[in-house]
Amino acid sequence: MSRLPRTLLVWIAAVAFALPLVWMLLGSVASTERLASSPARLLPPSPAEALANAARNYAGERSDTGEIVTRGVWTDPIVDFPGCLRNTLVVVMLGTLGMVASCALAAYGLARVRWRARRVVMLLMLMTMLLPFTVVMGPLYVLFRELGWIGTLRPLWVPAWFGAGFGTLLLRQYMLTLPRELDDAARLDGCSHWGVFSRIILPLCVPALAAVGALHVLSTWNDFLGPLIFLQRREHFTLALGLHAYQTQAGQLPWNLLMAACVIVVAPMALLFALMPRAWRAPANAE
Amino acid sequence: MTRPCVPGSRRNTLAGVAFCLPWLLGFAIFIVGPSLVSFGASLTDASMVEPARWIGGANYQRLVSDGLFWRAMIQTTVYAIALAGLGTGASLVLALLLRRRVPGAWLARLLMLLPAAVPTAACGVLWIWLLSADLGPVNGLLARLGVRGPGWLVSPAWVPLSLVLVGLWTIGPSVLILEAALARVPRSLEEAATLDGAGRGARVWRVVVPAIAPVLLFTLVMAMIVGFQSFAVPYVLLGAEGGPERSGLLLAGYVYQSAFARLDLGYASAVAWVQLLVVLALSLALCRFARRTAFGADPEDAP
Repeated sequence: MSRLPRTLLVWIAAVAFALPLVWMLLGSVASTERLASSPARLLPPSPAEALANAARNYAGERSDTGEIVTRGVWTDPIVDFPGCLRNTLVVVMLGTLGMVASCALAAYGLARVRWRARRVVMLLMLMTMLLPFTVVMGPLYVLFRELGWIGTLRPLWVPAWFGAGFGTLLLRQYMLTLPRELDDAARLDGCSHWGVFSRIILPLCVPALAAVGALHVLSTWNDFLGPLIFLQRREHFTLALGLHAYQTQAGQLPWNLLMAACVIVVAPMALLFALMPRAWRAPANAE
Repeated sequence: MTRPCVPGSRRNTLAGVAFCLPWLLGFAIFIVGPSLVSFGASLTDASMVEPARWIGGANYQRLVSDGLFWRAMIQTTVYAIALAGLGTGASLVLALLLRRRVPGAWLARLLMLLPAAVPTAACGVLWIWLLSADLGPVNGLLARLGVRGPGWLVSPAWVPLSLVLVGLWTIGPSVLILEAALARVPRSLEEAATLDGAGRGARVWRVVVPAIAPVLLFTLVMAMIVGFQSFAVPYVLLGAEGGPERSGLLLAGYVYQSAFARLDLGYASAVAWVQLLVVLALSLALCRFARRTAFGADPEDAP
């Protein structure tokens, strides 16, 4: 296919993918009245008004006596978005730290240590990736309830400290590309397995560690079913659950506020993604 | 002092277990344990609050005659197959388009991938508005083109299509995977085909695409597995009950309802195990089908 139709098709597709996000942004800087009319007219009349709307949508308006005149997302009395953000950050940071550490350990055990049972372990890891969460979610809830963890954030980040098949296998693939001569040289100098792991292999794995970390950050930030099941008290809600609570409260909230809330939840991940060019650049051999 | 590193030695086994210990513990505590409990629970009338009594296969018998279960099963199967098929097909087309230089391809790629980074809860809330029959921009756009948009999320006939459409929004990563696979196809293969007189169409569809058949199959099967377990987006879009006339009720949502709304852990476990078995069966069937058709010559190439 020649160049022009190809370019057009690609860009039509790209615009189609981007359009919902553009609509989301436009909705978040719109006034309540504009979005309440049908059919929707989204382009703001002027940048200044868009900015003013944005300020109002996020911060709300208070009267001189401190009462709420207009509700804003960030200052909402019912759903505590700043608190949700805090909780999400805690879960993400603690979980990612544990995930990267345990995946690195297990990857080394599978890539560099020659023991007979390792193929069995790898097979088990592959099998766990097929297991639907629905099979284990009920008993996991009961387990966490018995442990007294249901009123806390722990069910969301403690399991990450035990690693996962996907991250481990990813790191293992990467470690296999590192030359074994490095290991042998270190062992000739008297290093134990732990020494080789911590001083030689781990520092060389930083790109792969970053990838595993980034993927876990993304999946934890986005996780909905986990918080839905394991969190009960409103002050523990993560952003995903807070957004859902915000949208399902009694009395339909105006769409501009809901879009502003979406932007709060989406923007950090979109930014993280955009700042990782490795994730979206062309594959190496592309023409 | 050198210490011998004998493969398979007891010292190595200890080291291997030690490094894999966190994962092994987690596997036992969070995967094996709950799976066994879940299977055991499916044979009892366990509820979330009361102790369980053995009832054998009664849950499974109830399942067979449960109309709602079958609706969820059928709706989930249709959704998973439609999403996997259309998604993989669209990803393939986009990956093929991006093989040759396109101005601004990096930006186009970024835009296609961005939706996959959107949290499922936000995706749900966003699309509730976008697909709103009277206030949503989608119908607004259609109105501008002179078309009267349907009730995407309120009409039982349109709900399944809406779910697939929202699912297709996040196929970006598949495009990337297929692009990488296409890039690994050696140019010599295409050149040989051209020398043999193959036209452009034949070159692409009879040589290049079959060359990436394993990755294509992998993408298809993974998309189906993921689609079969879909929960968050339909839940947020349509609510716990599954929308108008429960047309959007999927299996994962049904398990969630049984376990956490009706507190019937035994029945929920039975449904979950049936879900697992169906996923396995579908994946195996697909792999076997592919093995016979695509890999006829050399079965060792099959995944």
